[in-house]
Amino acid sequence: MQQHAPQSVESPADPVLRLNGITKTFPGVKALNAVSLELYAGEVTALIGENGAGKSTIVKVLTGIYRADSGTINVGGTQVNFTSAEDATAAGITAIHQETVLFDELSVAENIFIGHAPRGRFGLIDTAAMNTRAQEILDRIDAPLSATTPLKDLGIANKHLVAIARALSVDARVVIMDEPTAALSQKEIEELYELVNRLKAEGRAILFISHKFDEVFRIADRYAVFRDGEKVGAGLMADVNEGDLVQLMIGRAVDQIFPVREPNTGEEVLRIAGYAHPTEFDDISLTLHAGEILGFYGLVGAGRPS
Amino acid sequence: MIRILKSREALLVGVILVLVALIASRFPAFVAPANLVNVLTDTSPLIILAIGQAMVILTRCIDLSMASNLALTGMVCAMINVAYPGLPIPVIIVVALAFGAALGAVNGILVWKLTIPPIVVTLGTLTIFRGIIFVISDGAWVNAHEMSPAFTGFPRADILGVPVLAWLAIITAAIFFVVIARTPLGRAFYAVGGNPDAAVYAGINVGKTQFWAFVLSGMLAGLTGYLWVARYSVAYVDIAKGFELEIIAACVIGGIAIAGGSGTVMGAILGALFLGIIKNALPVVGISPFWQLAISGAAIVIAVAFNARAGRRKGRIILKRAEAGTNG
Repeated sequence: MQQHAPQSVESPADPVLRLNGITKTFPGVKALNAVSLELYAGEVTALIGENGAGKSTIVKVLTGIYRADSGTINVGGTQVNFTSAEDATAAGITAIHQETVLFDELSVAENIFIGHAPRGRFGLIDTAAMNTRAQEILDRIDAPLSATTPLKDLGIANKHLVAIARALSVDARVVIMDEPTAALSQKEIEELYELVNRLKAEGRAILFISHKFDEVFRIADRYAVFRDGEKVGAGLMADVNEGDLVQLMIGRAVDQIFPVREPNTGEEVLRIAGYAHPTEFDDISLTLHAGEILGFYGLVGAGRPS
Repeated sequence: MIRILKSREALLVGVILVLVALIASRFPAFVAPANLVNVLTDTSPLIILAIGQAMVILTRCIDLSMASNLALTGMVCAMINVAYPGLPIPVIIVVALAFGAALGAVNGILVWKLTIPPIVVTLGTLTIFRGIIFVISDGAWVNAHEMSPAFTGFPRADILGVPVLAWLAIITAAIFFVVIARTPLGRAFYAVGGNPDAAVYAGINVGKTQFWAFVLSGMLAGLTGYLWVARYSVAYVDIAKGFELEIIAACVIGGIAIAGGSGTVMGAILGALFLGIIKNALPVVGISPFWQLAISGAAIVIAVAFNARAGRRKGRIILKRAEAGTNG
């Protein structure tokens, strides 16, 4: 006889985190308008929306960086009130920010433990214990890094691993991932998915912010779609297809997103051939015509802005 | 090992050794132990002040009021000594530390709570603190004969052949090595200066951290205030006027990045020693002290150029071929 009903996606337990009626206004802009959101243990909830839909504002409210004008946040059934990022961490909410939220002049271990470093005698930072624990976390996520390396010696992908290790250095019930794949290569993205699955198995609730539909369909159990600071839809991933999500996200039918273009390009105004730079790029050739928009596509670090 | 050899500190040690060797080759008396102790003692106020300034610069701020704080606290200590000649020196030192810290806290509060740019705040307090000296002293000097022998004798007292003043610089350095390396506040200085936006995400209060940096720099300025007044046995409105620039110069030469977040206590100390050696060597070598300003200035420009180059070298190499090209 089973004592407990198996917890499935269809019949979830009480949410680990519940936002209710969160409103946040900036001068002239209502960034969030009475938004509600629920996250469940062992599930990935994808937060989807266009730029400016309020995704990053909700992350900042959840991590204690912004204070909501009104509304409540419940963690594990208790109402919480965050006045700083420390409060959010203490309540068991951690975020994997993009790799820009790190400190070049500190070591990998210091980056992981900044704000909650282990203390030894006289309240001084116990560097040895900090390095050991940091190395344990790095090994757990298979990061090929030494805890004592200065962060400035690492590349972007490895910095991202440090950001992940930092989020895991606190025993968090809620893990927020803010566009975690934006700067990663395909192989690193696969490793990240593995990590997400491991966190799920450990019973953590994950909020996965993304605007890539393929990854949302691959790893998320639930979705919540934001548009112009409001939640316009939420539910189980199993119940929707990509078209439904796009429609919710932009508020129009899919066939309207890419209206048929009639190219009306004029004469060539710019031609680059075999253009090279000693360190940044090599043998670039492209042409630009009048009345044409040229898209540059590539990973961060592929030389786009140069 | 290569990292250590390449560091700014190693470079400065090398430059200082070459400088001392050059002077010694012409004037061997300069490297006599007694004279080296003299140079260290002479540079000690600058070392203590540069360590304080380094804390502030690390957090992306600047403290232009240190020399005024020094003069005001020095005057307060001198006047207390005149009024209560029997007051023991440890009490005077505690007063100097506390009063200096309070003046630093004024800077800190203005930067933290009113978010006024630090250069504006400390430019203001630079003038205000000097003004207060004039108000409390009526522009009069406190002279050697008015001070108690214990008051003026303390920094000059000899322990193991080295004056107390130099010992205090050494102790300050030791304490701040620990503060920087092993306290959450010390690490927060680097975080706040290196990446203030990220510091917020890490739960670090940027303004509060900067406040504490100003309190520490004020505290060290206050301590130096007493030592300065006691050593020269005189207190008046204009003591150490313009010295704030020398303090900042020591930090910049020592590799403390003006943009914040980068630099070491050792760098500040070596920067101060570099300036101190030049200052003490010029009269020996027979060059007019007026050249000292030009040489200090040149050293600052060279140091900043070095800092800028060090920053540029970080450029990533993306293409494998370009990488091979630079190696070959």
